[in-house]
Amino acid sequence: MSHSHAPTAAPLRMGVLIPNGKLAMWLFLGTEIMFFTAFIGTYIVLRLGSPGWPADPEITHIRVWAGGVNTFVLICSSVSVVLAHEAMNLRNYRKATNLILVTLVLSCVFLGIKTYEYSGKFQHDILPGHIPETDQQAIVKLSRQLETATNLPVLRQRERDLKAGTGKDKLLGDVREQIAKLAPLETACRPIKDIASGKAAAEGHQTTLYDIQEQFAGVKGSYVAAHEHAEKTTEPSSLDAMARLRDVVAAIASTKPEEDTSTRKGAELLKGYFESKLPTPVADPVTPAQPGAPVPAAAPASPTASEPVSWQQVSASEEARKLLAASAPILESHHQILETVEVSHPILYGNIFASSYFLMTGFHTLHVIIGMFMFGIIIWLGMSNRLGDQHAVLVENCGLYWHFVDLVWIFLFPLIYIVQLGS
Amino acid sequence: MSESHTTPEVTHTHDDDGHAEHPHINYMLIFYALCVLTVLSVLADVLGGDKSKVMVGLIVLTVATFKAMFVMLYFMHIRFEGKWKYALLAPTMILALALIVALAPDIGSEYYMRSTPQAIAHPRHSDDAAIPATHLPKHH
Repeated sequence: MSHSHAPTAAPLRMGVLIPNGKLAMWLFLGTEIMFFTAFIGTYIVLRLGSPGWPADPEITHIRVWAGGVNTFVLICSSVSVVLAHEAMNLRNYRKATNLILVTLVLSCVFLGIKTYEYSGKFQHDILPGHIPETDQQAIVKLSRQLETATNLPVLRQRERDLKAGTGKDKLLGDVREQIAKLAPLETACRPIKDIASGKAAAEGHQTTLYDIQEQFAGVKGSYVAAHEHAEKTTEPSSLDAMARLRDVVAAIASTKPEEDTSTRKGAELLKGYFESKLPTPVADPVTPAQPGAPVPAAAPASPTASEPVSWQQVSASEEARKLLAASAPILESHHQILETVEVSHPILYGNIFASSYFLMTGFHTLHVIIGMFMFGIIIWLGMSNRLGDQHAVLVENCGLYWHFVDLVWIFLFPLIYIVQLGS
Repeated sequence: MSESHTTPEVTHTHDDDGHAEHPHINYMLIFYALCVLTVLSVLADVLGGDKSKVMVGLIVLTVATFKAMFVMLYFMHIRFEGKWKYALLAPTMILALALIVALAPDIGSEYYMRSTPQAIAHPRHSDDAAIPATHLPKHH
């Protein structure tokens, strides 16, 4: 009885005096702090444990200005989201919707700049597991890239598959023709392959990355030279074409083998085409035709196997002229294949750098994308005039989450883009 | 440091048990502070160059800590929240710091044996110069 007259005590209140949703968000952010601390902590350990870590923006294609602009963009979006929260408290739902829209646009800008940065990384192949760290690895990479660019391994596999099947003779013929067209390119690149596979070293040749660069430039140059030779023969005048052919012959003959200029290599490349197309291999030593000498009339187009003809005779034939003209597009296509391949420079610790970079910025970007979906929900509610007092916690939670995303970037920006320690 | 630096125009005092009703904050002031700090980071990078790597590193990380403090205290309203914030954030902070402490013995220690290509290409100590080093990668 006495209990009923007791002064009313304040009702017992359990738990934390914040909305459940907000408590849940803070708990989640607590786990997020540990999540990102783990990445950042391991990054610091790896970085300081690897003297010579790549920090030069020229090598890593890190753009400090892009990171700086993105920092600014995220700061702006943090302001707009906190102002949206304030507008919700003042029950100004239209203003809140607009401010969230601004935040969404800013997050799109962030993603755009991130895309630009990532595309640069992909373009220069700054990807985990793709980066050569020593000269030898750079040589092996070049060789593999050349092989992939020619598409020859795929074509050979197709050839084997087709051979096993029946009734696909036409397809098989097509594949074989493609392979045959690529053969000169394969031959031109063989020295690089030999070095990469260690065959050259086994034969006692010491090769550095510098030599390989020169070699590769030489292959490219010879294609340019050969294309130049071949293209001019498409000129209508047969006499001009013949003169051109003589130049090719002269180019081979006049340069000493040890000189190895790209003109000579290009001319030899062209000769290689004839040898692969004409019935009889032409291996005769070459004597340059006299300038102005009459073109030998009607040289045998298809000599018999027992009677080898000279390169000079073959090159002067009409059939050869046609072949030469037809080789121009093939040479061009080979040159284009070569242009897609670049000699990569070794980057010490490049792979672990790329792994850390993509792991940290990738998870951060994932958080940005998730945040954008949250903003989308709020904007959708606002646009359909359903945003109300009951959504105050939702907007506040989105804001808290977004500030955390900003917080992570605040640390990633200096750690990835600026700090040169340990490099 | 949370209590020591100046509070940008807080017009109400805060209530330790309350929620939502935090005082009015001049968010633009915080925004300007964050922008100035970001510019400071970039300036430190541009002016620092290669000579003072340690100094630049310390400056930008200190600046980042201050920026993080501003965001947490004012944008996330930590400064005006009830005492629950300590109970909630202490465990996660302790665990996060525990990771750093656990990793500390490894920080700065080398991971590569002296015979690995990486260690040969970039000898850490002067006595390592005795190892026949291949030439360093050339970049342009």
